Amino acid sequence: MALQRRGHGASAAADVRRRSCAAPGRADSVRDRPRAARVRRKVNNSRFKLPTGRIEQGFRTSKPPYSDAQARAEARRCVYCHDAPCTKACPAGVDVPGFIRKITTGNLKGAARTIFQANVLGYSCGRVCPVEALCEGACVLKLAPDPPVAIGRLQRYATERYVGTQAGTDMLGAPGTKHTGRRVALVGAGPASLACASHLASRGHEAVIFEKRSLPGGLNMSGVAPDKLHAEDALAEAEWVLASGIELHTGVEVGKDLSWERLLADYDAVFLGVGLAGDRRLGIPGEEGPGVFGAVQTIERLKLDPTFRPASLFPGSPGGDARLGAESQPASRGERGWGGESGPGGESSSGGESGSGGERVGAGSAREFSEAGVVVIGGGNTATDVARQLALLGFGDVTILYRRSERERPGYAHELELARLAGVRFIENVVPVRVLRRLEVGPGNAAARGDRKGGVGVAGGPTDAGDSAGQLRGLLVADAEKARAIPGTEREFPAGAVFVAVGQAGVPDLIAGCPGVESGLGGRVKADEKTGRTGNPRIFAAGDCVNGGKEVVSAVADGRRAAVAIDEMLR
Amino acid sequence: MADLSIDFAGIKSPNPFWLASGPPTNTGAQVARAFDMGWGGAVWKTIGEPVVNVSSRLGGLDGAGQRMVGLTNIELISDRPAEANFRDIEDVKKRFPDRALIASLMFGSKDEWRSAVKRAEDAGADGLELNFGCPHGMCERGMGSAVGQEPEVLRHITSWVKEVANVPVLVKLTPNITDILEPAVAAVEAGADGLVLINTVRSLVGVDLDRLVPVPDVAGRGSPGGYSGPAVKPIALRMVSDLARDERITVPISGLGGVTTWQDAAEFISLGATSVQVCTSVMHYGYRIVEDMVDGMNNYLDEKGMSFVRELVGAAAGRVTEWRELNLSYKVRADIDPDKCIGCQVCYVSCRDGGHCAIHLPGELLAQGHAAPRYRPAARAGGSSDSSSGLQGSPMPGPAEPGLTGWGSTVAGPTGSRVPWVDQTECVGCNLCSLVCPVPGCVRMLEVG
Repeated sequence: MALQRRGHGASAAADVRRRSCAAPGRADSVRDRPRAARVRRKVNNSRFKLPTGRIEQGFRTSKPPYSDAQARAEARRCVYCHDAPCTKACPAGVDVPGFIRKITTGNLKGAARTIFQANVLGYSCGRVCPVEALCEGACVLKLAPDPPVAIGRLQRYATERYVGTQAGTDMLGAPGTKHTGRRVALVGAGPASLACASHLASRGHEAVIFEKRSLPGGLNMSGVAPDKLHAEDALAEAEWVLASGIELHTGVEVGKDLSWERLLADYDAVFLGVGLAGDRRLGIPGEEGPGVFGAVQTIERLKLDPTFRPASLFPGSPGGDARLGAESQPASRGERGWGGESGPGGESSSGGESGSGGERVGAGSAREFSEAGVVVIGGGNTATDVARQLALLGFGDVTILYRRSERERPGYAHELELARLAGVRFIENVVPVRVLRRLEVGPGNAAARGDRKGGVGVAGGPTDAGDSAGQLRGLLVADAEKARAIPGTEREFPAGAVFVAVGQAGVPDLIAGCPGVESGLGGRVKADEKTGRTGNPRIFAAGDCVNGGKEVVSAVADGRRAAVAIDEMLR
Repeated sequence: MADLSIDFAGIKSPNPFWLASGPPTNTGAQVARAFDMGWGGAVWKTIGEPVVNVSSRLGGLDGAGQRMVGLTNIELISDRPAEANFRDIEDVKKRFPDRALIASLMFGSKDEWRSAVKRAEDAGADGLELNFGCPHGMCERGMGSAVGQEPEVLRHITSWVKEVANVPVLVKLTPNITDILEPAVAAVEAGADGLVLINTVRSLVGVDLDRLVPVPDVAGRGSPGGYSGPAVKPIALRMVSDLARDERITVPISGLGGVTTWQDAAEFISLGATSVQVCTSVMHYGYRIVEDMVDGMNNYLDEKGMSFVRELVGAAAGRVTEWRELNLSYKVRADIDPDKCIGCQVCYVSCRDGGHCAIHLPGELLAQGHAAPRYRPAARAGGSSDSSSGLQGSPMPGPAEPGLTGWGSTVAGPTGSRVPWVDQTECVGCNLCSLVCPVPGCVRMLEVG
């Protein structure tokens, strides 16, 4: 394949080929090993490496891989519907009964190909898709009534042995496709771009991805809850897709390092798969100070940052930083706090450091701070994701606050159920109005507030100044009606840390710089849903930057649809 | 608790469950353990001139979700010296005097047969089973199924044995023959006291697709063997009923072929078997399965109000007839219960592709002159009302005809429904949809006239 000899894609492809050739016939001997371990091993030999010591490495999946016998037994439960509701419910349109039947006959290669033809990220989608609300939610067996066929786990089973192998790469391409000479630039290396690029490459077009970060994979790599999928598995999958003949340039931010005009001059078409701009803010006083964190950013740190420790979420903890990405705040130790109770401040944290058993990372430290309680704001799936991870890390008191009723939540009911099973509390119709902090001990603060000398841990009432300084002690919350605070219902809600999961911010600046592309609702890219066409006829877009943040499988499906439209335009 | 004891041509047994001649009855220790667990009788692994055996010997056929629904073997008769087997029989019989212990024999010459009969009787065997059934190996030397396929040879050997035997003589028949009655009648005429069937079905169970050699593999080659297990039960039931229905067969029948559960046993007995024999399922699950066979049979007989298992013998045999005697005016039609249907539409696919194209999806166009559920048969002939609604693509139910309410419950279903419906004019009542439907009781076959 001529395409693979160029750029980074070529070396990755060569790596994959070398690895898969190194041990012919090894499939049998490793058949019963945990699949996740195999994916990890592959990425260790690859171009992209993740550091060790990341918190996510301690998370185990709640849906472990199937053994051959388990997979066959589960596959046989499929009744092979004529007009499969599961396939209709799948945004990518995977032929579910088709691939499951192939599992029952032992035709695993055919099963994997069936999945990859519709969804190049079929492996991670098998693990992260909200199957309860999609394919499995539509399974007719539920009417029997029986548990639905575990389609997600079967999809993982069918695909995991081919992700990262040359045999799997061969399934992505179309043998004998001639190079068209057309070039397409894709901005961002997340699921939408990977799906779009893979499809374009299989149609003979040259696909070149520009990614501003150092790693490909997008939110599928950095934003999926660690108990569903680890970053290294998503990274290995992304690298394997790239090896099918896609060129990748990392560390290139289009608009800064490379102008849009240059891109449009050098390429026949441009695809925007840039995603969104990270956690949106609450917009309440005190939010900017220490102890308030973005949910997406928190999950990313769990997954990618080897220096991150849950205890560091608390300003009073040793080595704790004030907030994600910000400088450390001075720690006030040995004080009373959090509603007058003996707080987990200095004593607890020092205990955490020098404690018995050498427990120094992860849940051990988190437990030391769990009394403080943590609060998650939001009604979506990111809120339940981060709340569940915190509960799994050992935080004893995790509460989700949502401004509307449980019934109105945009997030999946089964995800809230999972969070509840992990110990998370959900409170509906409550809205935060202000972040509460302790006054700092310091000459500046004392002088500014002559009436409250050294006003540490003032009981009751919020601090009325220094909103962005001082240790977090909680939120002022109010009952809400139609998402609005009801005056007079304000009260304190103690919290050691607050996680904001109220959606992701748009990318208006990027859109403004992109010729002809219009900005839509919430700073999203305005694009046609079916084709990804934007206001510029040569620019297409799909994924979170268009839909405002949906499932990986939606991004894959939309990216593929855009590729079809691009291919039509280029022919 | 019903009385499960039987008297098979004078052979007494506390229950009708016997181990068939095969690996489970190879040694005294095995048979003693089986009797400890409750087996009523055992037919010893066939004793003959010591033979050599091959390795490997067995090949299995797996069904969906179950291993070994069929088993093929190319093992020959006992490879232990005859005398060792007779001594074991003697020991076991002394320890378990109330059980039926039958020696299975296979020899060549008249003298060999006669001396073996004498020795078996001396050892205390309650009966003799003449193995005229094995379809592999021994038949190449003129024994086993080579005898069972030649009624005249069978008649000769049976009469040799009968001339000297003092205990009941049972003849075991091979199914590898066009008309099972020919050897059966020959055996009875030669004086056999009972018939045993079926022996294994000559077969080739599979091919190893990696190495492209038959299964089971003996140094890269394979040879047809004898097929047994649940897969052969229908063949065995048919042959047992053939004998039970023929007035020339005046001796009791011991039925075998795929017996695994008490239901299997009850089916054989209801078609005319007095005892049943079990081999393959014991090879699969062990002797312990007899506990449920005894228990389940007891419960079944209690529910049927039968005090003795012999009341069940042949109870269904009279219902087996020739095809030409069947009632051609009897009609059933499929009826899909919309409350139970889960919408998989497997019935639709099977009827469309492999049946009579009588099942349709909601909203599907009705063929001209055909009837959706609850359409009046009178209107069908005239065609006017039906065809017009059919052209409009509306299979919605019309008023139910009195007397057709039984199958009128199959409705086309509301918009968006996934429940298929049966065109009553196209349905021939074949049962296929009810066989493929994954929901018990969802597709019923209702009598319509």
